[in-house]
Amino acid sequence: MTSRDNPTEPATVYPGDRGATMDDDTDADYLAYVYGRLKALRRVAWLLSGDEHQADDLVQETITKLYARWPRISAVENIDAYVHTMMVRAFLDEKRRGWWKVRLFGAPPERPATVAGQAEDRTLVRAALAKVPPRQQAVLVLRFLCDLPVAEVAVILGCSEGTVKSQTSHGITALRKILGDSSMPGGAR
Amino acid sequence: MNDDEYAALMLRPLAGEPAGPPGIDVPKAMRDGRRLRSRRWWTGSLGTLLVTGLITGGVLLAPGRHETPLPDLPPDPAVPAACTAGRLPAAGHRSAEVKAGDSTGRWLIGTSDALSKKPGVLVWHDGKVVADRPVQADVWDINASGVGVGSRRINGKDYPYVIRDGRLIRLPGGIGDAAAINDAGVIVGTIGQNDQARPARWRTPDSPPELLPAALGIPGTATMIDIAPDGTAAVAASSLRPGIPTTGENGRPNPDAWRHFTALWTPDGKVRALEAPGDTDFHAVGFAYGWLYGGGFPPVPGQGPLLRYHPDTGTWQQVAPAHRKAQVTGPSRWGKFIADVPAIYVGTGVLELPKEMDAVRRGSGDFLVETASDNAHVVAGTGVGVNSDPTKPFQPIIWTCHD
Repeated sequence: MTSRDNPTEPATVYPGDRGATMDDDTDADYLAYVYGRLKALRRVAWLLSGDEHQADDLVQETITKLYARWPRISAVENIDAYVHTMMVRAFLDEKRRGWWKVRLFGAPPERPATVAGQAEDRTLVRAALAKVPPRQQAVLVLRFLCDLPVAEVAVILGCSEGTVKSQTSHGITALRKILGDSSMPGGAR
Repeated sequence: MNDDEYAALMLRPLAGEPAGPPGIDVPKAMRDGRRLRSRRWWTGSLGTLLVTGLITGGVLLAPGRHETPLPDLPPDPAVPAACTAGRLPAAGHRSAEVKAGDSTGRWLIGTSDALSKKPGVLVWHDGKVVADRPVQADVWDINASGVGVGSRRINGKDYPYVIRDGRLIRLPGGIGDAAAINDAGVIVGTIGQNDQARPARWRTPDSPPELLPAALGIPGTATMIDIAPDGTAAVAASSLRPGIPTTGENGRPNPDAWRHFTALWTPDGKVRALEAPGDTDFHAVGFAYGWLYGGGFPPVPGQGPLLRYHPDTGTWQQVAPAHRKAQVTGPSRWGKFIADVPAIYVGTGVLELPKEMDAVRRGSGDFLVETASDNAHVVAGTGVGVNSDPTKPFQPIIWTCHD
């Protein structure tokens, strides 16, 4: 005599959280969101900061604050924009605190160097970008590395589209001054 | 070249993906976030920023991107619709028992006349006995190549062994025990004995054992439970909870003083402790269907919920709120029990198996289910007379199931 047992969908936690209870739908939603976005969030943080350790710190801070606010904001229409706002704000805060002075020289490089020319270009451009005012850095990264439209960058930064455009213009001008027109990366002229 | 084109070209070397492993701790974010909630920091400036952003850019909001991709979890096999029970051959032995089987259900391993003066080891392939060795040994697992593992007692001490082509071959490392083997041939077990036993892993039967690195405060007496197909080993351990006396008011050991947990030892040598949701103790009993199953301590029916953990995604599921009287199959010695109605977990469902009536007639009508194939089509175990007549011989049983 064989019998089937057809239970309802098992309670699930993505991924493990010691403090969560498995029938807490709110936590499950948060975990599902964070798990699904973690890779993308880390990429944005890395593009903003240029450093994997700082990127992890930015994501950690962002998802911590996100959890704290989750019961109130999980129904927000554009959670991604909200989360990006939190991350950019954390990035700007870190710039003010001088994170790089604490961590940049404390950790050895973990990645093998890529092609020498590419690595040099990356170092050169990253150093130049670091000299641009932080808010302009964020605009340039979000627009040209994250490929976000002006309107979405405006939402993330909490400003008008016109401000985004002017910040973009100022940032590019600053980059031109630092790098010079003749020093296009990769030998482009 | 306009400004936008210039900027895109200029910043191009910075594009890409972070290459190193992420150092993000989601459970910590939840713990810290929970503390922030309690301080009601949610009224802070970021909320204001959001409101400002939504107001100023309200009409420009991109369409909602609410898709929340979930981890890829392995599909559970269907609970079979029907099974038939049959008795396995015992090569003329009065008593024989199945101890383990492989992922395909084609290989089974067990012992014969275990309680007699002439015990032996039996290996079945496709339901036929292919090895019958008169040695005193315990056997705990067998893989899809027909290689079994266990321990052999010599001069009062146990040594880890593999059983291959009917031959017993001692593993390097001295006194110990081989608890499980995966289809890649990686073996896990212990080296040493009693308080000196350490979880160990052999990459091949010829290679020296690697010992579980000292980490996480795992005591040396931690128990090796099982090995996953990818080589990840599950280790069950206990540690003292701080501030709780180890002796109760009655002078007996206080079980609440111990926290029981499971650690995963991955093939790259790293060890991490699993933290079950809700501060639940999690004592693993074995890998099955791509998950690590376990429960509280002891992990037996009636002792709290049965949980399972998916190592690749860190996902927890509650299989049953109260651990039912059904068996989690696998090589682990933990969590096994004898039942009058044989049953196993298949995924998160329960498959009740028919009694093998010949065993019932012979007085061995209680069942210890040990193994199930990955598709749950082959299940095996032993009919015993523990509850009815312990003098009755063990009967090796195989259940063949279909959807």
